[in-house]
Amino acid sequence: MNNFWEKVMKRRVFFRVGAIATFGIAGMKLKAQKQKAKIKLPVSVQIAAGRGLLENIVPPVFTDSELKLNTFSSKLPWTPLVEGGFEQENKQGRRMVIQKDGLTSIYDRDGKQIHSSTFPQAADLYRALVKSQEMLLKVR
Amino acid sequence: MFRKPKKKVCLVNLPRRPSTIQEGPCLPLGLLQLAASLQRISCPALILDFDLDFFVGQASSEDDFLEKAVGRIGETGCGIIGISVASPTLPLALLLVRRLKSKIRDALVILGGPGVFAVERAILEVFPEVDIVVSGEGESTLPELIRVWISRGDLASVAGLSFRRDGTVVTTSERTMIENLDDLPFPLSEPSSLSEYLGYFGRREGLPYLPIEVGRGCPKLCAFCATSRFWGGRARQKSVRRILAEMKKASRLGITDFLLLHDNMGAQPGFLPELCRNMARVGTPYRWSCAVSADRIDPEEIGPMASSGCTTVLIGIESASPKTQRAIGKRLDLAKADRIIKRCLEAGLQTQVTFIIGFPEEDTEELALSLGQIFAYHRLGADVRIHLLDLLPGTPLWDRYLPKAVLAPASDRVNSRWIQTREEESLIFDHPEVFSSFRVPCPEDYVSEEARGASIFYWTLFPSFTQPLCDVLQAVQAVGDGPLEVYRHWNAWRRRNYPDAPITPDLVCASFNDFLDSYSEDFYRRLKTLKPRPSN
Repeated sequence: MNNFWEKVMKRRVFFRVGAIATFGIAGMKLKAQKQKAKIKLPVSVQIAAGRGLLENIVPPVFTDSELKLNTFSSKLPWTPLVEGGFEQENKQGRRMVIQKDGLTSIYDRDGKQIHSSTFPQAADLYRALVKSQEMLLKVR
Repeated sequence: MFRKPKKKVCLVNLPRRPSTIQEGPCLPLGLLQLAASLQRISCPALILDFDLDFFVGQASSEDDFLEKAVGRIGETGCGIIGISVASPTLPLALLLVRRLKSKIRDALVILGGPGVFAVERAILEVFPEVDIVVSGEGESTLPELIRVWISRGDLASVAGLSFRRDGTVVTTSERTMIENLDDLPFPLSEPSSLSEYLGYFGRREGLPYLPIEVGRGCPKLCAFCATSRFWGGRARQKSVRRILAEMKKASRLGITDFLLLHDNMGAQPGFLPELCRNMARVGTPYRWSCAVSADRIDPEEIGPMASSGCTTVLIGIESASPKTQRAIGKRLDLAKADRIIKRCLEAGLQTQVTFIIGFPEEDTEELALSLGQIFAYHRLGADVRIHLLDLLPGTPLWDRYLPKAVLAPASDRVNSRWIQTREEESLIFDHPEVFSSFRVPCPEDYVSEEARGASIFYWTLFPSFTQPLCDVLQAVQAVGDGPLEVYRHWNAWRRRNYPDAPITPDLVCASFNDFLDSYSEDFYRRLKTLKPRPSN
């Protein structure tokens, strides 16, 4: 009897070991496959260092599109300044001032100058603004 | 069964160049979408965003861009290189491919995107360095193409391709459009890629905003537009549930501003109200902007849009002339469009209104109608944008005018700002059949030479000299001059001072101030001859 149960137990153990081995390996394979499927393959975007350079900088060419980089726009109104020049204020409260010689300055909310450069295109715009406002003044 | 691909794919976003970047770098949504589609077949994809490099100043030099780009692509070790192309970046893409193939001979180079539309065959015939051109929607074509290529299968079995076989170009069958856009994978399935962008965006005021594709295709068959040809003549849209799910996912990354991309947001009745209702129900303070077709939405829908977080709408008018509307196939109800624009402005939305001038069919009276409306909307507070007609490949206007189209001087072309090097310029001139979008209709094809000149004049001046131009136009109303008369004065002045110079943007820009000096004297003289207004 004992021998019989011993045999059965051995077989059961053997069976269990076999089952564990068989299904275990299959299960592990399945698990590994599932994990593999879950792993998101990298869509790594390579971004160069040196970000944020343009944050406060007027781009080198004074065009409409580039003004927008600083959230200024040639379509925002220009206001003449008593001390000379024209200024516009963007939504962020920054002011851009252009002078006769094309000197372009940007001031932050607190009035601190954060950039200054000279652009011939700004001088052209200044000249056109002076002339057009003179014309407008004549009919008002 | 296909073998599992082992090759890595490098997806390249080409730079727009500093002079063309309008609102900073933009996430390459198409490439993110493609990368997500490749993930579905367990194909690793890597995106190289050269546009961002240019924006952050990493690649400021045009001269060595190609060398550096080839070097960076080579460093990735990818065997498959997919380049996303828009019409203006096509010359740069092809120069890059040439250099790339001379360095990495065994790489498979695939071009795709709207820039190759309708010129796939011409590209393959002229540029042997390009291996495959994908037409139309790439999300289903690219994964299938890569599986077939790796398993050395027959490329002819993949729909939506053009490739070379034994020296001749083979174009496979047209691929069926993706019916349900909700089936597309989330482009943001890999948040780490986005977080790198956010690292940059987060430091800028007013940003970041995330583009979300809402739909594709357009039922309108406008003669100047390639949308309905490229994406199909039926508007397909993602469900509101899916759009909100994408927004929710992005909001976990701190993004609450969205640009909803679809040429025809109002094309599907009930979509906009449903979107607005659900946005309001979610209770998340999302801010979003979109383009709407003025004759497809109801003025009553504007209020709910504004209250559900919409901040900006773009409305394409193109022409204020009913005759031109018919000629270009847009057939917009101009009175309704006017009501919609005014309603948007009343609702406090930033309203961008676009016009296209320079249609060969347009005569001076029709152009004058558009110019009048452009300045009227500007005075009302709309952000008006003027575009000069660009012959987009595959469009009816392209078919009509291409036979006689000419490669005009660089400054005369809409795409010219994208061209920065002599190498690109000579490539365009050497292969006009490939770079047809850089050609303009032949001057003889214009019904009015004056309308053509005035279009170039205002297209050049309006963006940079907006306020002086508007002030001048407002002033000279007193002597009965309108936009067309101002142009006529300039043209007469040009004939006196630059008799041999053709009308080009360069000439318009350079001469504007000198012209104003002369014109203002004439204006003051005419003003004096007017009877004084009776005082009250």
